[in-house]
Parts: sequence; structure tokens; C-alpha cells
Amino acid sequence: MPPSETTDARSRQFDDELRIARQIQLSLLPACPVAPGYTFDAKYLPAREVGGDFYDFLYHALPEGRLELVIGDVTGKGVAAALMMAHSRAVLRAEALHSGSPAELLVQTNRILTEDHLARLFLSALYAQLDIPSGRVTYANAGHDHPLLIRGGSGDVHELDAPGVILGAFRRIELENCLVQLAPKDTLVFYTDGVTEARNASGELFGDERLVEAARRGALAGEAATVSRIILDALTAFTAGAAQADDLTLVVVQRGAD
Amino acid sequence: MQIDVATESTAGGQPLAVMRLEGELDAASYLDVIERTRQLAGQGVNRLLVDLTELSYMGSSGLFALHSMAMLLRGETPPDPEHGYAALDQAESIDDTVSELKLLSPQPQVQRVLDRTGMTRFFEVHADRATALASF
Repeated sequence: MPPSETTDARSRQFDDELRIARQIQLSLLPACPVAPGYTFDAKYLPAREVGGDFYDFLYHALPEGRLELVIGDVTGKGVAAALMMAHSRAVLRAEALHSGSPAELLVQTNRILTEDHLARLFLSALYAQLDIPSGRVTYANAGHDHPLLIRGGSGDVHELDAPGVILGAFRRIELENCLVQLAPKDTLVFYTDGVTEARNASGELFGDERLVEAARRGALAGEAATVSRIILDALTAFTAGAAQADDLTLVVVQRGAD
Repeated sequence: MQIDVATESTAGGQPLAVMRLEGELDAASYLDVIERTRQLAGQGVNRLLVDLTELSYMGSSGLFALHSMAMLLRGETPPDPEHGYAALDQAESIDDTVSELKLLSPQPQVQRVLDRTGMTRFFEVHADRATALASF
């Protein structure tokens, strides 16, 4: 076989394997949960065939129990980040079975990531537990972008600040559990930095202000799927066809009107 | 991205370098920064002030670079981003590097990344060059 045909065959095989990897990765992302009084939506757009972002939902005795949500972003992109993403997701799921609070779970995950040799990259992650009946959210942040809380009544947007440090870099870290109460019609927007750091053709960043404005507009316009659609529409209009440089993930939780 | 290095010394006569970064620290440039630090460490420099005044953007690759630079200043082998990560396991903790790698005048986007990822817990950030140099 001539060299060019060999190269073409290898290229096709690589493309096929990437497509399979993409299917496997997408299969790791769960369907949005169904819980009375809430709507959920999630969007995942890798910059390449596969990516390092992920989100996950875990359930405890739904529909009246507790929902756990995680959003994560592995440094880098492509195959290396995707492998680390799959590993991190598995570690987080395993820890969720026996760790108590979000902070404990993330600290334990950090211990595992820094002790094993797979942690070639770092992971930012935010872990939240939503008590379905009360709307109380307990969360801890390991170096991830701060979620936005949009109050349904006023449209005020609050950034949920929480001190934290990325996972996989430092052996000994401390994280805090934070609390926020979701009132009826309140919306939470979780995102990765692929949203705020998306650029237009001039190199300008989408940034926090545009995200906040779109999130507010979306939260006042409809349920979770409407919120994510309006944010992505704003992002698409801003970037206007410029190449997507980083993986991008959005997760929206909205409490309905009681 | 442009990297300029000037060597100075601390009040106690210890070798100290100031690395000025200009442009964007991202996947295209972070290996250059690590390599430059490796050269400095090989020359006996174990204190480094990274001047971020003209750095307009830092992506997650920049976090990896800072982490690796801190390890190099400690005389450790950082994880090789191209060939594996086993070296990290040799590091008991990177907390001790706080006194060896410091940051100067990050712009808002860079400060945001440092804050949100918790890097400012491990690396001192100074707004003023003279104060930063005197802190070593």
C-alpha cells in the first residue's frame, strides 16, 4: 500500500476512534432529572470531538429526597482532558457513595487525584446538594467558576462566592460548605469558563457581564431550558462564528412557582 | 508571548530572578515559561518574582505552569505534560513554595483566574515591585 493510502487509512481509523470516544463520553453525561417543582437543563459543547468538561446528577430517594449536582472542568482539552474527565467523574461518583458533605467529598477526591498517577491535569469542580422539598442548596467549590443565583421576584443576580482551590494540584486543601436557599422562581446557573472566556473575532471575551445579563433575561423569561437557550443564543451572537476555543458547559436549575 | 528575565539578589545575597511575561499565557506558551524556569533553576535560582503586569490573559495551562515552576524552584521534577505525571507523587506538599515563587501586578482577568482557582492561597501576590522584591 502506498504511504499516502496508509496515512489516509490511519487518519480514518483515528477519526473513527475519536467518534467512538465522543459517543462514550456523551453517554457519561446523564439525562436531566425530573423532580416535582423544579426544571433542569444542561448543555455540553466540547471544543473538539471530546473534551474535559462534565456535569453529573446523582439522586437520593427522589422525587422527594435529595439531588446532587456536579460540574467540572479539567484543564486543557482534547483526548487527555477527556480521559481525565472520565476518571474524575468515576472518583466523584465513588466518593458520593460514602462522603458526607460536598466539601468532604471534594477534599477526598483531591486526595485520590493527587495520589494516583493519572492526575496529569487539574480539575475545577463545584458540588451541590439540593434538598428537593425545602429548596436548600449546600455546595462547595474547588476552584470552579462561581454559579449565578437569579432571584425570581426581583431579577437580582448574585454570584455564589465560595473559597476553594482546584483539585489535583495540592495535596492538602481545605474547602467550605456553603448554603443558599432557593425560593420559588429562583434560578441557579452553573457554567464552565468556556462560556465567559469565549471570544469573538476581535479577541474580546464574552465575560461575566454578558453572562449575567443573559442569565437574568433567561430566568425572567421561562423555565430552565429557556434560560440555557437564551444564554447560548447570546453567546452565539457574540462570537459570531469565531472558532470555539474551549469546552463549554451550562447547567441550569430552576425552582418553579409554588 | 514574550518572556524577559532579569536577575537580582535578595537583601541577604540570595539569587533572585524577575520573570516578566507579556501577552497571553495559554496552551501555546506555557511550556516556554516552564522551560525558562528550568534553566533558571539549573543556574541556582530558587526565588522567582513573576511580573504579570503585561500579561493580558491566563488560561488553565498557566495554572499548570505556575505549579510546575514552583516545583522547579524547590529543586523537584515537575510532572512532564507530554510524558506522564508520576513525578507529582514525589512531592509531599507544594505549600512550602509560597516563599519561592511570587506574583506581581496581575491584570483583572488574570487575578480572577488566580482567585477562583485558589492559587492565591499558595502564591503571594504583590501590587508593588519594590515591596515584592523586599519580601523575599
